[in-house]
Amino acid sequence: MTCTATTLNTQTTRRGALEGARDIAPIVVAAVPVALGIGAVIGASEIPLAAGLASAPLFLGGAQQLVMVELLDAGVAGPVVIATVLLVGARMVFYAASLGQLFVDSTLRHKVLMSSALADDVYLVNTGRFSTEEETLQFRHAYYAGAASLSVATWTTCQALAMVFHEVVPRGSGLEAAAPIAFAGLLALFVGDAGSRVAAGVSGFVVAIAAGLPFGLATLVATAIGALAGASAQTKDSKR
Amino acid sequence: MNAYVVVASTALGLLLVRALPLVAGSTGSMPPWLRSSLGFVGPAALGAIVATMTLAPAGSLANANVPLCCAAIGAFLAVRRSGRILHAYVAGFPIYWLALTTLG
Repeated sequence: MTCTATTLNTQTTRRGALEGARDIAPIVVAAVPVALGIGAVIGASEIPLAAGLASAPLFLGGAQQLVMVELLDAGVAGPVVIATVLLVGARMVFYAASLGQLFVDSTLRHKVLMSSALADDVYLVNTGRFSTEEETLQFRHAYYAGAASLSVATWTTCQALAMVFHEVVPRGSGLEAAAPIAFAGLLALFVGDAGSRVAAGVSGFVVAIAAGLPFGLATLVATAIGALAGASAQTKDSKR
Repeated sequence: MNAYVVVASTALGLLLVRALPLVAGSTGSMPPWLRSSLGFVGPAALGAIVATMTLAPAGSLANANVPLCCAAIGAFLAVRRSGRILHAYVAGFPIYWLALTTLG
């Protein structure tokens, strides 16, 4: 009996991890040219190679890394660099709070582990899957781990290679279009109901008019306003 | 402050930025409007990211990348029709290269 339960648990974990890796793979492919580009910039900067490399899995955000490199190279004071990078990464607050709704029953240890690997693609793939499908907590943990492992490993490996071989990383091959193409495709999977369509449309509009805001704040502000607009539209839609 | 200290301190800060809302977000003690809004963070963030990358890649609408806009629209429509994310590349890249050639 115990043996059967253990086998089922192992099967669930394996299935979850494989499905997580499979679902995130198309998005991870799009992140490769981005990671190579960021690695090449860090490799050509004044930042020590080990510090630059450590920032890849610890920051899990290209914009945060580029801002740090730019400010450190310009001789800006450390506390100002830290505060600026945190501001750039502030949209993770929304991701984390939203993800908390999907992992209500997880232990504190699991939540801290999950937050250490939280990035754009990991968040989007998990919410895309579990907003509509009911799965066991064990499966959800395994799915998250599978998706996050592939994402973090690819991101870090590509950056490490580009940091070392930054002089031979090809530029301008058109592969820089991979990320927006992948995210536009992912967006199509997200906008199934009226609330989602309003959320995406409003946030895109806000970015267009607030693009001049510093430190990537336009994305942060647009995400907040878009999410509120989406919820409002859904409430109105359900009252009809 | 050297680069190692900056990386370590920032990493700790970013971990807190991610961990605290994740823990707080699952305690069930938030107002209904906030809980409902969190369900739309995904599409809102994606809309903002795609718009930033295509319409305002350098922080201004004047720098809108038209070939990239065309590719993103093509990718969106292809996935919307097929439901498969890989079709974003199948449609997006040819459109991007074609638009790059014709529009510059």
